[in-house]
Amino acid sequence: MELREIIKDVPIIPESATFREALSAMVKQQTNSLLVIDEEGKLSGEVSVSDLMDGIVPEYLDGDSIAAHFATEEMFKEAVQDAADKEVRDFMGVDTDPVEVDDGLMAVAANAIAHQRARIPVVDHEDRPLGIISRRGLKKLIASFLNITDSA
Amino acid sequence: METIQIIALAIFVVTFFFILTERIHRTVIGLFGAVSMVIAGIVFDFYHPEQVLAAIDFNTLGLLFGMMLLVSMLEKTGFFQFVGIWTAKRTKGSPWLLMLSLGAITGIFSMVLDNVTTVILIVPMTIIIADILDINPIPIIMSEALISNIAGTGTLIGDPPNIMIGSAVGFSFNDFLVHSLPVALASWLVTLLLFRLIYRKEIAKKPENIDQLMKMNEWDAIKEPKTLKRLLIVFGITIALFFLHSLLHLEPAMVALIGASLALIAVAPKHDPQEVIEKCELSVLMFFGSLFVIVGGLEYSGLLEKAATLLTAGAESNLLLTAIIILWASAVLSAIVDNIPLTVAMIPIIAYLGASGVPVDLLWWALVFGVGFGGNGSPIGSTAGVIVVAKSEKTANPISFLGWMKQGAPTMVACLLVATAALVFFEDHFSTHNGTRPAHAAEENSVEVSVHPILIEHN
Repeated sequence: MELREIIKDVPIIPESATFREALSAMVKQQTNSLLVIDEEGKLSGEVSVSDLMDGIVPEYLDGDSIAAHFATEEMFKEAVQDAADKEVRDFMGVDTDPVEVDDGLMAVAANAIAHQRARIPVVDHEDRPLGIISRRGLKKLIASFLNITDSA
Repeated sequence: METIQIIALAIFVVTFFFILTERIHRTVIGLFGAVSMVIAGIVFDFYHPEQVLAAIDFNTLGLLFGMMLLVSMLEKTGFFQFVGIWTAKRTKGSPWLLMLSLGAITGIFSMVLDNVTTVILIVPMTIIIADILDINPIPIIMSEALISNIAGTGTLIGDPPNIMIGSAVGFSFNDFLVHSLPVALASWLVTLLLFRLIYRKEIAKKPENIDQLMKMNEWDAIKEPKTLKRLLIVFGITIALFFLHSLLHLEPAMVALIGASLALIAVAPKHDPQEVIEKCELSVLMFFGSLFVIVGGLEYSGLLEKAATLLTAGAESNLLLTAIIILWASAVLSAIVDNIPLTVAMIPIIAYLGASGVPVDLLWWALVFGVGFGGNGSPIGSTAGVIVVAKSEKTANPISFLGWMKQGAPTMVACLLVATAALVFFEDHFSTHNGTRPAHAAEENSVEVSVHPILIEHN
């Protein structure tokens, strides 16, 4: 099995897309992450559910979980409304560190360990996003070397 | 001017240009400037490694590091938020009482902790409370920022410039309580009157949802009650030691480090303190250390002596006028640029004048008030101000540059008028240490000699 075989398609959105558009894409396509491209079509970031939360929580509460405990539900609703028109570039994760489609499997494994993450973006030679490698894909890949199948 | 002085001046000017214009991060350019000064000093034989070590004020760095360790442990406990909510509930939502009381706790914390931590922890709680009560949070958080700077001026450990001046001159914790605290308290009072006038409309607004405020359980903020209890005991011991440090012949840095070590023993004796240390602003300490090295290079090149002679010409004949000029000039400069490099550069200049036999205590206090109160003059004048402006951005009424100036600039002027009046009417009081100098410092003929070894050579 090769890396290409386990690449999963994910929605790709521009940096100028809004919070509302990003969330809508996630809900409609039942995915927990999106890849973001710049004006040249190159991968510039990703949006996870955690990044969406980052877009919602007001800056004055950044990192202050004790104060956030006292914020009311009404404040959260208002914060969501305020976030709706924010551009993705304002809250996306930028530490993407993707793998290239021709990278070796050991490089992919090292990347997964280094970033402690379950989804790794994959790009072509011109840094254009092709999709992601998911936890499921990684498991399938490793299992194929040990001849473990779904039916086993 | 000699070649070595031109070289030292060039390094100083270039480094300070980048620090003050913030084109390069202050720690990065500070370290680069310090290394350049040391290399130039060795190559041109005017500044040697042992002199570099002597130029670094380890008392200031130790005091800041010790207090940072203590604060980084205390801030996780939820104590500040607890006090904020408890206090707010006592006001029953009255905007004026909220401004008074939350400003008061910010001020009190700022006297013993660093202003930035205090403001970072109090402001979010304030915005939430104001949101619940449907009142404008800006008057309250503005008062918190301004009062944190004013109150911090009142104690040795309230503001980094005070730590630097206190360490350089040998002023004790109690010296600050006797000299600068009354002026800070008077300025605080005048500031409150000013708030009352400027924010009369906002203060008059009737709060909504008072029942929601009263339902808030402040105890929910306390995350680690056992840790908090132990830290408060350690903190109490540390403050008591600050009161007694001159009697016990302990440097303030030693007191802060005793407090930090007690806190680590009390809270996490078996854990690697790496996590706590990472929360300390080591970048700030490196920046301060670099400034000491750069200004030390200027001293050892002999340039500061020349500058001091030039700048303080005639000062001896009218010390009060010189003090007032230092007060207002340092305040205006502090409103525009970082007051730390300003303080580090001013210390040796006043010290030179003192070493020549002029009684300069009055000038030291003028500098304390100038750099302390000056930070309120603009939103970029103090880190607390920068943070409050940033935190206000996502509220319904963000603080603009002009919005700050409307309250900050009059507050600065009012505080400077109070300080001017204090220097004029109590000139004699500010011209003595009031007998509370540490015994080790009192043994020296000149205060400055004990801190700036270079002065021994030059004088």
